[in-house]
Amino acid sequence: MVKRLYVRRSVNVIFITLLTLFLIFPFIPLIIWSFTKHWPWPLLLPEEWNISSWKYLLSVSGRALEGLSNSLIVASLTLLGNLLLGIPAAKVLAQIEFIGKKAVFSTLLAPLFIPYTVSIIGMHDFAIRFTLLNEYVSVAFAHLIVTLPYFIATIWFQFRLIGNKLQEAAVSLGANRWKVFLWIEAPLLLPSVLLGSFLVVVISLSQYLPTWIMSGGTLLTMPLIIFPFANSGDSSIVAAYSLLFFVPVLLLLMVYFLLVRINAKNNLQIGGEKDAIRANKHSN
Amino acid sequence: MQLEQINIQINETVIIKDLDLQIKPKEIFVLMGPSGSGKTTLLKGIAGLIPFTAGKQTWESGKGTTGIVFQEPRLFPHLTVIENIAFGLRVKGTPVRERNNKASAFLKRLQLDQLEDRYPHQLSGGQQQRVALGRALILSPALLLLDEPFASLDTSLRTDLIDWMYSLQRKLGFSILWVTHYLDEALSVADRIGVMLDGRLQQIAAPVELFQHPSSENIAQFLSLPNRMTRLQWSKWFKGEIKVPATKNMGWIDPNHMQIVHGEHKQENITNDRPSSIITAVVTKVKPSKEGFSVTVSADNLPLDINMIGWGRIPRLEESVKIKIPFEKILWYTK
Repeated sequence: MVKRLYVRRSVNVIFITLLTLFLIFPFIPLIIWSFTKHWPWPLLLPEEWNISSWKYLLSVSGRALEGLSNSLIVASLTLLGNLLLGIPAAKVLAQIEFIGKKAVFSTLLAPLFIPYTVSIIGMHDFAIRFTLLNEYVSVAFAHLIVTLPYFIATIWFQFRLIGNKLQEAAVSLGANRWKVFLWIEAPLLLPSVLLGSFLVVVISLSQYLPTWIMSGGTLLTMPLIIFPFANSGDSSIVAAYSLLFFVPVLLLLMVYFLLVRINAKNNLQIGGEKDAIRANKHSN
Repeated sequence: MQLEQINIQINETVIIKDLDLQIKPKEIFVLMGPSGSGKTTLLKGIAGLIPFTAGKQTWESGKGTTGIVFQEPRLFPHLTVIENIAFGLRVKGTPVRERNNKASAFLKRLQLDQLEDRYPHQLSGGQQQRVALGRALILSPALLLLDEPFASLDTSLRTDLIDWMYSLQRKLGFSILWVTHYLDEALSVADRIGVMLDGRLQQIAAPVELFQHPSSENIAQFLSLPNRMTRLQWSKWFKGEIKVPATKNMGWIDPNHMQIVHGEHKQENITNDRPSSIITAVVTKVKPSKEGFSVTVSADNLPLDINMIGWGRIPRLEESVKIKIPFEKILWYTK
C-alpha cells in the first residue's frame, strides 16, 4: 500500500516536472534571442551578446510603453464590457427558462465557432460606419465580441453550479434581488469571475486583427508593434517585445492566484462583517 | 393564516386547485400527500416564492410573516453558522452588534452555541438543519413552513429532531405548516392533518379521526390502511347483514386486531354483543417484526395482514389457518 502510494507520488512529480519544462522551455530561447542579433544553427549558444534590442525597446521610437499602456487600456475596457454584459447574460442563460434560450445561447457563443474572417469582415463594416467612436472604445468593442463567449461560458457554468436554491432561501428571509446578488451570488461567483477576467484580459492583450481593423492601424497595442518585426524576421526585437508583453500577463496571473487565495482564506467575507461580529463577541 | 380559493398555475399546468385552508394560532398542521400532489408548491406560494394565480391569503392579525425550511438545509456556504442565522436580521437592516447578540442567544436555544464560527460544510446533517431552522425562527415568523425538513436524515436523528422541534414549538408558540410523507412523523406532532391529492385538500381532520374515518378510498389508500375490504366482502365473511349506515361501503381493520386461531371454532352471530367471524385462509408471507410476526394470508383470493404478538409457533407458508375477525374493530368509511 505504502509502496503503491510512493509510486503514484513519483509519477505525479515526474509528470508535473515534464509539464513545467514543456511550458518553460520556449522561454529559454526567447530570453537568449533578446540578447543577441545572431544565433545561427547548430550553435548551442550565440557567439555575440548585446542589449541593442532592449535599448531600442526602451527608446522613444520603440514605443513599448505606449503599446503596453494602450493594450492595458483596451483590455480594461473589454473587461468592463464583459462584466457588465457577461454576468447578467450568464445568469439569465443559467437560471431562467424561456423560449429560444438555446438560440440565444448559440448566438452569444457564436464567435467561438464562426470562422474568424467572418467576424473580422463584420467588424470592418462596423468600424467604417461608427468612426465617431473613440478608438479605444471601438477596439474594446471588437475585443468584447471575441472575449465575451469565453467569459459567459465561465460564469454560466458557475451559475449552473450555484443553482437557485440558495437564492430562494435568501428571498424567503426577506432579501430582494439586489441583496441576493450582492450577498449570495457575487461571493460565490467570485472565483469564476476572477478566472473569466483573467482569460478576457489575456485574450484581449493578444488580439491583432480586430485591433488593426477597428482602429485602422492607428492604435498601437503590443501585438501591432510586434507583428511588423515578426514579418521582417528580426527575432531579437520580437523576443524582447514578447518578453515585455509577458510581464503584464505574469503579473495578472500572480494577482489572480493571490485573489483566489485571499478569497479561499477569508471564505469570501463581505463588508468585514465577520470582523465586526468577532469584535463584538470579544467585547461581550 | 387563512387561504381562500387558492390556485397556482405553472407553465399552463394547474398545480393547486381552489384550496381553502386555515391554520390556527399555535397549531401544528401537517400536510401529507403523494409526490407531485402540490405540497411544496403550496408552501412556496404561502412563503411568497411563487405567486398565487387566484385566491386570497389573509392573517388574523392583519399582517403575518412566514419562515420556510426546505428538505435540504440550503445554508449559505460562504457564511458561518452565526452569519447564516443572522442573515434575515441583516436583510432587515438590524445593526451588526444587535443582530449578533440576537443570533448568539438563539444559538444556545438551538444547542449550537459552540459552533457559531463554523461553516456549513463543517457541520453534521442534523446540525445543518437546526441552523436552517434557527435562520427562519430568529425572525419570529407567525407561521413556520417546513418542507420535509428531516427527510434526508437517518431515523434516530430524525426522531430526535422531531421531538426537539415539537418542544421548541410548544415553548415559543408559533404555528407550523409541516409537510411530511412519514406517517409516524405526522402522528407524533400533528394537531390536525390535511391530505392533499392532485392539488386539492381532500380531507382535514385530527389524526385519530383521519384514520378512523378516511373520507374516501383514495385517502385510505394514501394512508396505506391495511385490510381494506368492501362491505359486500365483509358481509360475506360475517354471513349476515352488516349493521352500519348504507353509505359506509368500505371497511378496514388493524392487523393487530385479527388473530390466527387454533382448534375448532364456531361461527358467531353478528347480532351478539361481541360478534366475530372465523374464516379460513392460506399463509402467503411471514416476516418478523418488533412485536412478533407479521403474517399475510389469502382469504377468498384477497390478502389480509395479521400481526402476531409474541414469539410462539410461526405459521408455515402455504399452511391453512383460521382467522378470527372481531366485527367491532372494523372501521367503516365511504368509498
